[in-house]
Amino acid sequence: MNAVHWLRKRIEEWELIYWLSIVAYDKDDHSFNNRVYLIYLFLFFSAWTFMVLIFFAQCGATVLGLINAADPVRGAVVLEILFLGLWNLASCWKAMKKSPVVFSKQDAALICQMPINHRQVVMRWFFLPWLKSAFPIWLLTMVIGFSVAEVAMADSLAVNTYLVYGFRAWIVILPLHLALFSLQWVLGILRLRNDLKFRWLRWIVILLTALMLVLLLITVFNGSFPVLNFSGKNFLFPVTAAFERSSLAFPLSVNWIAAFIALGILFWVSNSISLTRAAQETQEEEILNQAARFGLNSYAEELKTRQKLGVSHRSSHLPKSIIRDRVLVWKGLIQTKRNWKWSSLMDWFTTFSIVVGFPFIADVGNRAFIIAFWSIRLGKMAVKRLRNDLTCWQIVRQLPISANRFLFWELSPTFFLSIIISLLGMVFSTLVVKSFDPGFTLIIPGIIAAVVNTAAYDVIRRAKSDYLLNGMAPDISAVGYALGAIVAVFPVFLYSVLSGILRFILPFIASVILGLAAFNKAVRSYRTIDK
Amino acid sequence: MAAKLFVCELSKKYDAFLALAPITIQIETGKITTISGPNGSGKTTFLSCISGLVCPSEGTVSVDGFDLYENEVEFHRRLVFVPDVPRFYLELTAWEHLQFVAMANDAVEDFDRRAEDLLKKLDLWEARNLFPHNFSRGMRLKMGLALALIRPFSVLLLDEPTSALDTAGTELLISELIRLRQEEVTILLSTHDDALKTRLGDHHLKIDNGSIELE
Repeated sequence: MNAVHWLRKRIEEWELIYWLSIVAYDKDDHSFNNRVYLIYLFLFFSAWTFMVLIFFAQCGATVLGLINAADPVRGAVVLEILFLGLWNLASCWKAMKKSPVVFSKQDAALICQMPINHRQVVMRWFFLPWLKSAFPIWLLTMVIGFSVAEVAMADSLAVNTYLVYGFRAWIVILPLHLALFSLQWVLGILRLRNDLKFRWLRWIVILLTALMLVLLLITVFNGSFPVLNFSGKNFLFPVTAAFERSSLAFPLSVNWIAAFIALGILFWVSNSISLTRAAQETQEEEILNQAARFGLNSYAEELKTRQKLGVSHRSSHLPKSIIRDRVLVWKGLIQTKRNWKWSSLMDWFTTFSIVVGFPFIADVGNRAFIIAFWSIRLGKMAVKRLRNDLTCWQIVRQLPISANRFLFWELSPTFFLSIIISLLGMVFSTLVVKSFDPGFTLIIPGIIAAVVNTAAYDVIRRAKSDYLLNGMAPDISAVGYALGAIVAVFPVFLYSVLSGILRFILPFIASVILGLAAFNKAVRSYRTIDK
Repeated sequence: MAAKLFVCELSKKYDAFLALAPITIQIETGKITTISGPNGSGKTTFLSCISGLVCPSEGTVSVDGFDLYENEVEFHRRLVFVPDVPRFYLELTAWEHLQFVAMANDAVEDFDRRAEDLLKKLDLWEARNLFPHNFSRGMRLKMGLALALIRPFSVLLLDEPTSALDTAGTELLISELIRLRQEEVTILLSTHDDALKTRLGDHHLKIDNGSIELE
């Protein structure tokens, strides 16, 4: 067990080192200067976090006013229960699908196969995930506490009292979060014991949902429900105590007793955990976490897609009329359908909003900024399919499809869809907002083409066949984003500064030329990847 | 007999490292040529350069007079390469991969029957609705072969085709290659398997430190 303890300690240290390395702290440097730097980091980030929390607390005060203007404490309780409840629900649901105790591939080989005390392993594994889970909840709780202070002390803000509001909330919620987190682990461990026997555990989540809603409703409507009254206090006192100025002793004791009971249950249950099953369920998640942490986004994305797709799917049948290069569109449709992400709608919504909002921005600088921002999102979206195809270089390169046709079919879906959405934005502007900008409508297709093709050119020029053969396609570089922004902003700039007929003709011609030039560059680069 | 595949002064450099010294070879129609050599000698690089997967530093490759870069579409209609570890699209099933490659090569004629026969022959019929990235290495290699065989071609390049195949799979591959040779297909394959060389090879090339010589 000592070896396991040592190993876990190393992992915890490594975690700390990772975060410190982000702020350029070298743990191997034992010099005085480095120690001073560590103190500086601590002070700086404490002050910075406090400032950020105050900023959010000001927004939070508005929200509290909306929930219950007369009683900010009640609003704070609603928010706290809502956040804790939703977090708990999501975590319970996750725990019932996948083991909450996460083991890496190395853990699976070194620890899960050994005849060691399961109870000790679980308790040793508990600390780091608990801390990671607790941190955002603590911050959120403190923000709510500060928000109450913002409302309560609107006229006479004193730093000491202000801080007390935040820390009091944190002290009360800490054991409550600990209790809930322990129970989530209990749930996960019980499920791991035997899936079929403990299927009823899923109902706990539904019950928890119902309970949370009842508690919320009671709080919102300030009602009293006899069953929920305990010793003359409302059942919600473990949460309410975090925000109201009353004695802390009783609620805090109750919360800590709850936490210790939950930890006790976890300790009791953990002896029966199946480490092997836990490892089987979580090894991949650990790889995914590591890949995402070290910026291996493509790899992390691939792993997620694999998990999402599963093992098989009913094959679709392609109409015989779709042949040669057009088959790329069919393939793209299947891929999009099977790997659909709702978040991608946000990208299209950005395009829509920019077109709708453009006529309202009169200033050239602001216009350039908005268009440059849009070009980044558009470029990223445009090369998604291309990058995916490049990772299957062995297949794609051997297709009897010329480079220009290949790139045309790869990029045209984003191009045409962007134009359709832009036109919809125009129609919306004209009919609803009553503002129509014909010149901008004229240059939009050219701008989209220029951005899409520039992004493709950047990806292709950076591609190396050795990497492609190993399934690694480059992403757009900073240079690519900058180029995309330039080709997008230039016609908009001309459109904003010129007048008369030239205002329409020159930006249009410029956008078309830039679009075509970028496409030609992309085709040429594709034909000679590596050269 | 006319040369089917013509490689002229083909070389590949990675910065200062010469992976392939300038190579010139002609391979005749309907012949099987084997390439052997120690690990890291340049076999895969050579085949990858010929197929266009890796861009050679110098030299040209042509099939039936169609140059890899000047007439890329016609070139790719004629030549197909099966790598030792093929990669596949994550979202497409085995059957959809076959459809995709066949349709892209305009090989729609009698596709369903041909695909079924091919998958049954390669013992992949039951796996047609699976995503091939989950396949074992041997199955992936067979899937790579299926993708090559579903489309028309006249030159076939294979990189260590038996490295992951079981005995039955190897025998099947050999019989398939013999059938293709009878159909006048030009085959160039790299292998470490001396028995395969002896059984199949009409010509043998030896590659060492990036230089090729006829055995």
